Amino acid sequence: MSQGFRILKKERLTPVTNRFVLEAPWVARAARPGQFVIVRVHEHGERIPVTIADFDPAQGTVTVVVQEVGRTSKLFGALTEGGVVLDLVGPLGEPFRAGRGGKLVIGVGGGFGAAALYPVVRSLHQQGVKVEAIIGARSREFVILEGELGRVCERLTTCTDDGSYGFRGFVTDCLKLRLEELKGQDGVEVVAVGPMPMMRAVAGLTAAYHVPTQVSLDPIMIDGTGMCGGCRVTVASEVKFACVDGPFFDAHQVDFAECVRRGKMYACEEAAARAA
Amino acid sequence: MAEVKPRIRPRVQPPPARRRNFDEVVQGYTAEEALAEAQRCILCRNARCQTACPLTNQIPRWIAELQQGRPQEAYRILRETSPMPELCSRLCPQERLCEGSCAIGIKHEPVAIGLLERFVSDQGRAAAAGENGATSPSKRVAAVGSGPASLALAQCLARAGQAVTVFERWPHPGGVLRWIPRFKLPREILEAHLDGLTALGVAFREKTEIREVQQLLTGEGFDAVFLGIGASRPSVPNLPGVSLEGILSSTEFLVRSCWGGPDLPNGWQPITDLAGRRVVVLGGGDSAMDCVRTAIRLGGAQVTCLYRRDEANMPGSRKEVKAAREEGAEFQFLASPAAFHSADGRSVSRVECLRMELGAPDASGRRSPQPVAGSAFETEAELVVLAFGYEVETGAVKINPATGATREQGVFAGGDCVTGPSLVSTAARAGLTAARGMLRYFAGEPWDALAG
Repeated sequence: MSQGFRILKKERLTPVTNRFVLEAPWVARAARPGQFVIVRVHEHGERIPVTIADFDPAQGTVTVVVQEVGRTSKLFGALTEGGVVLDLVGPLGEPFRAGRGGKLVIGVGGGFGAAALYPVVRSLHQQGVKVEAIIGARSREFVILEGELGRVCERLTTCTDDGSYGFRGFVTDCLKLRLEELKGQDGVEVVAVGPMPMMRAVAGLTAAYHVPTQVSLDPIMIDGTGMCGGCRVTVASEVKFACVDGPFFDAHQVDFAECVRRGKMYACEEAAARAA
Repeated sequence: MAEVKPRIRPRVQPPPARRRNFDEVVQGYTAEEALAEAQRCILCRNARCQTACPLTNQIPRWIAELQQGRPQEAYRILRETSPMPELCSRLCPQERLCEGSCAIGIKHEPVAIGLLERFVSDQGRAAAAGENGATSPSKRVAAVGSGPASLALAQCLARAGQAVTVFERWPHPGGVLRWIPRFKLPREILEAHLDGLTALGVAFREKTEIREVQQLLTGEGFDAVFLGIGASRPSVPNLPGVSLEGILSSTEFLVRSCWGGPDLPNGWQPITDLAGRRVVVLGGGDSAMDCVRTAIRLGGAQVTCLYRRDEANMPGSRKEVKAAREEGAEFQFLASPAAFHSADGRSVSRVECLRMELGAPDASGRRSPQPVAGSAFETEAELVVLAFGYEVETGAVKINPATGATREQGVFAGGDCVTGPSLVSTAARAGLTAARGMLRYFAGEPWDALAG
């Protein structure tokens, strides 16, 4: 039996976000961009889905970026280098696949969604696809992975809601300007990862510009292995499971109202767990 | 011919008591009762019960030993064919298998083969504990998934001197056996079975996801792989409102009802109390009965099972339906959901249903239900459980049924991932078949011959 997964490196990216490099050779060898893992910090922690932010088969490492929102992610944030994570199951979910004929992919990352975006952008870049990225955060101190993303895309724009850094405004404001510039050019695609309202806004925007778009519906995932159906979501009037059929779906076919509602299903329980 | 005595009823927790606990309902036979029930068997020479058993248990042979007062010898014979009699005796729908074919059953009540098997295995297991595996295993085998098919395979191979590692993505091994309610399969019985395998030298690697089978063969050095990944994806109907809060799949409901908090994923809370809540379970199989009976024990105010065919056409075990009814479950037959409605826009409050009538037989031979025009009606519910069965997550795996071999060299498969949802005993048989196929492979038989 494994004795847990060792934390080789921990780095604080923002006041609420940490990056962990974990020793997990099995997972590292099988991982593909866009997949996720289910993590349990210790015996009394919950099992939470976390997107793989990077993986290195040669080193046998998997990188995850964890934002402290609930009780479990706070416990995660308190772990230190040399410590262990009890469970790490994965890789899970379907890897990201760009649409056929995509000539330019714009990756949009909201908040710590930039972490999940990174392996997707990097892989497109390595495949020779022209790729740009737009990432956003509340303010300068919450911006993450700017350097990493900048190295694997042709153009990176960083937005802050308060204008403390880069473009002042939401990622959708910035994306709108870019789509205006690209108007009439075919083969443009968008992939968006971030909070549900942001992905919903991106979907609305790109629909108006007829730009094919995929979103990653990991915020609603629960067991992660297709066994509970708790993450079911309606896509093109069909019931899909975000964990095994996704996490990437056609943004223009997703019933976002339902996702938002289901995302709040466990909200009261989360609040209780935070108070405990 | 001597008069046939009536079948001996086992001790059972009375319904009012068991409605409030998760202890095993059927408490089994005493030694005297088992002996008396065994005497009812006429030891048929061409035993139909044996043919009807998925594992071809030699039922008259071990019952004869029981009649002679030799339960240990009966257990030894039973274990020649069955890797897990203590589980099968509790979980098999005997009335459709051995007991359904019993010659005594033609005119009288059949011999209680299931209860006798349970008596023999509970007696025998206690005495036979401590079996050890080979000291120097030869080949390395990976079993992916830890349900009954993999457990049967692991046991057979470990006894034959091979080193087996069983991989499981969840925190504890057992697969589907993990969410069979405790009142049917007490947790100690499952744990004892797993402990027995560990003593045989079987290694369990929980919390491990296997994505690439070839990697196990080429990168991890296993000589053969068995896929026993089951059919775990719940079928969710494409009906309006199916994503409302308060509508759970049977797996989610059972897992949250029978597991402790730390084993539950992402924000799931254990379901411990359904007092005052009206529960509707949709579906008519064994999973549906597990959900109905669990909901009753959790104090559900009114627990109703809605099934689209009639009672005679229910797919599950009769004894489960009978037990559910004794415990106070209500049944609405020939009713099918059409939509789910919510009073507050978030949580389900009503199930809209249609009355059905049975039409011509379908491919499975059962008469297919057709909706009756203008028959819509509504049932109020605060909790709806979807128990419409399961699908294979990756699509059914194809094998040679005689050996368990797939087209891919070194890769075997069996159980629900091949057949779709079926019984514990059929999965166990598939595990044994694949184990024997592997031994032939290790002995040098060419893959083309095995894959057939």
